Amino acid sequence: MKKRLTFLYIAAFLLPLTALLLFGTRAVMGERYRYKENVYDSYGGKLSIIRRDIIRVLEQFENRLDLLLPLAGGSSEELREGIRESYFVRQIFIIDPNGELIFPSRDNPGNLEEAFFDRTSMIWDGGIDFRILPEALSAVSGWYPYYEGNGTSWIYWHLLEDGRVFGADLFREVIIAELFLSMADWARTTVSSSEFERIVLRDELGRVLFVSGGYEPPEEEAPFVTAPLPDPFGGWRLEAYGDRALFTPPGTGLPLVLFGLAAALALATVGFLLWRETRRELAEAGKRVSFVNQVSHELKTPLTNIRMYAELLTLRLEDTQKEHGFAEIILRESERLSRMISNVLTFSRDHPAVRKAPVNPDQCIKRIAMNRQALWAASGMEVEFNSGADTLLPLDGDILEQISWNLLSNAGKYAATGGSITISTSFDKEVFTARFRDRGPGIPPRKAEAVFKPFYRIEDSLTEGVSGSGLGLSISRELARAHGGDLQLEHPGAGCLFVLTMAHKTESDKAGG
Amino acid sequence: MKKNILMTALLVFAFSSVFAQGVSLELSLAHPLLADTGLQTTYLRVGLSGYEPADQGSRPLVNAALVIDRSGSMSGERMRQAIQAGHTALEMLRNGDAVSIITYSDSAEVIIPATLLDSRNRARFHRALDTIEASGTTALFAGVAMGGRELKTYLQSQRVNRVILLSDGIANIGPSSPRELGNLGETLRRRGISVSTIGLGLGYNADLMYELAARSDGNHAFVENPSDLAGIFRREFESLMAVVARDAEIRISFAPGLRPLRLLNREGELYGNQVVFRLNQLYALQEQYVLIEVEVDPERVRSAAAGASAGAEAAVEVSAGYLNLGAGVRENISDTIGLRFSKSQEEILARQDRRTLADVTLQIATNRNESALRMREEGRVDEARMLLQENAEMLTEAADLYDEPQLKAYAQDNIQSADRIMEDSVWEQEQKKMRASQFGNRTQQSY
Repeated sequence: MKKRLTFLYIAAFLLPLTALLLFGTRAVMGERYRYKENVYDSYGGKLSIIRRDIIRVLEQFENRLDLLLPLAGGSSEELREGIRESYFVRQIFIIDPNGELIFPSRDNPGNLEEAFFDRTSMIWDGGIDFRILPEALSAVSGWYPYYEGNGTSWIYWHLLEDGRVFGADLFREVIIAELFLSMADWARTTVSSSEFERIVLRDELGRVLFVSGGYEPPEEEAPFVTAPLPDPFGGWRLEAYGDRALFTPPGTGLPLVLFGLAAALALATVGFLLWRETRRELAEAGKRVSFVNQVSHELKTPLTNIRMYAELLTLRLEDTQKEHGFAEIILRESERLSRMISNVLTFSRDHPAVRKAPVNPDQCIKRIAMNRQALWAASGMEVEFNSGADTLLPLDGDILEQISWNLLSNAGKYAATGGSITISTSFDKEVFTARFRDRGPGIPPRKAEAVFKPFYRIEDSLTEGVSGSGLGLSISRELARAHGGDLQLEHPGAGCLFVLTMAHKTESDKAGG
Repeated sequence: MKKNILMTALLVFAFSSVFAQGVSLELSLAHPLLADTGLQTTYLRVGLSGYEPADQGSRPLVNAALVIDRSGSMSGERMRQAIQAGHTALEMLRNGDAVSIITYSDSAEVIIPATLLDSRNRARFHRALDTIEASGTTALFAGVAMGGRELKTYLQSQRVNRVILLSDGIANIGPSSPRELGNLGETLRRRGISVSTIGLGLGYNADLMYELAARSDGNHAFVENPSDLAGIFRREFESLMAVVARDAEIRISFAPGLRPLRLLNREGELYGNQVVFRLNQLYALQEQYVLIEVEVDPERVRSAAAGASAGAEAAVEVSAGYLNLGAGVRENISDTIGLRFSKSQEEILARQDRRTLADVTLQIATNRNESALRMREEGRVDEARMLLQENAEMLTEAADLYDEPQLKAYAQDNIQSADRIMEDSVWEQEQKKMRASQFGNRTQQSY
């Protein structure tokens, strides 16, 4: 029993806790996942804005370069002057429709023009034909990146209407400077200088061109979002680094865990206290039962001796002797004491024990009745007995006697004015019934149930001065119920009618008995 | 006696110079007289000087961007002194000047955007300087780029536009090589912006600071002691305020038979027989010059010249256009110088222009000094040392020959350097000193 209860309590505590943890974890994980998604989205969004700005920078250069196109028709001097006037153009070249380089001259280049040929030798010696590009790319203009010393440089080419190609070699430093300024503007207008994130622009060699944000990633840490830049910035990329603590949504992790622990603790404590209480009660109950058993044994032993010797005395003494009378009184009183002790002990017990044995209920009741009658001789109470169960039935004789004694005792106390009490018995296949009818003042209907409560005594002039514990009826009912029956109070007119039913057929009897 | 008069006359002829109301242009040839046969080399010296402003107190409006390094290495005394130098700079500027302040570490940020100074907002600028704190890396390129952008706001022709860059460390974010910063400087110069670079301490990249200033036609200084910063800033601003002309483009046209080979001390463009070079600003009463090595082919000269006489002259035409800040208009001055041929070796020698030759020696020595520096940086210490010693010898000889004390002083520097580059403890310092004096030699920087 204890084990099962303990198990039950543990289950009762574990189940809600598990549920809490499960759903809590799911909520947190869900939250984290959503937050992580948001963080990724937010970074992805930021990086695409920067990418867009970078493309815009390139477009601005294209527009400015297109303004130089008219130079294509000018003299060498005009072209050189045009280069001088443009702060971002390093060199201009013109290719005629036949693919020949018109400007600058390969035979007689100026010092800067020669440097230009040196750094772009792969174009002139490698046979890159700018005339093919427009058709290949279905565009009238575009960018041609080439690698030079420090990194990628860019040539802008534009196919002119007459079939010539205008080309401009740009200072890569200007482009990088413009990119940086555009990103710095973005960084200033966005909340990106937090210490939890960093956005880095790297070139094709992995060199850092631009940094925004205060977070310093450790050596080996990889960016959690990377956005490669589109052509002509091949190999360049934007990287977003962040403090991984960002993935824990603010405020949900630790507090939730703490809350969970606190709840678990509370549940555990309550459960433990309940369990302890129950155990204590069980222990107490157990103690009580064993106490009751102990006491009943202790009490019954001397009583039994008294009754035994009293009986012997009655047998030895002649009826006519005064001593015989004394012995009978001793016998009766000891029986009464025995009954009272039984009542108390039954009340103390949680579960009255029912021991069935073949007994003749009529005989039991008659004997009790006779005993009582002797006691009532002074008050003039008479007992009428209508025998209807003069046969052996499997009943607990002690219980029957106890109940009968209690009912008769009550009748003697409260219904003495009626003068007599009638007991009728009957039985059927399953139930033995005994009716106790007195002619006393009766019990008001509204008190019908109350009288069966322990310690209840009707107080009126009638009962003043009457002794008793008020336990009789409650115990009798409990015993009757323990026996599979009941004790009911019915009111046919003046007086009380107590109907006692006791089941004599048990399940095992029904089954196979 | 006759010779002297002749010489004087020829000298006067050789040293023809024209004074415009503004800028003065002075041309000279190392060898005004050359042998009439065989390929020879001589040097053309083109010097430009700013005029002295009529009104002593007047000076041009300034458009300046202070770009201050606030990387971690600047923390402490250096930052304090840099901020102090900034205060000094602000005090030297007048109401109506445009100022912006940019700092850079991991990235660059504008502390004060380009604003016209007036009596009310000065305090704000001073306060902004005081908030600068040091921490982080060195995005020098970004700082300069941002400075350049701030200058755009008041990039007016009548203003002197300058980025003043202060750095104490190695650029490590963004383009960081001398060549890349030089190119950036070039693109700034084309927009009329010069970058003056101030290197603080022994940890900065001297090549980078040199290139950036050289290509953008700014000034360069090596400040070893932070407490000297304020003084250097003062000199820089004095130089700014001495600008009388801007955006000068000098075109030199050589007669057939005269082939310009290279410019000795400045960047320029060479096309066949044309040379074009630019100076971003001209300073009052301060000359800036360029030396061009010229190959002379007497036969070619004669065949191209109209007459075939022995006294045929080969002319060099020089034309300089510039914006006269005082007048507010663009002006042009031009001049011509002629080369003649002689059969007399004696005459040729006598006519040599000592001052020009002294300058040529100085520039050649500076070139060699740069080579020696590169050798030392590559670890070829002994070679470097030898070259410096040879350099010193050449300079000493020339000092005597051309009676030029400046060459003697530079010889002394070379000897010292020859010793000091051997010692690791002073090498970094020596490197920066060498770079700074190379720069001064090339550009005729006033401080």
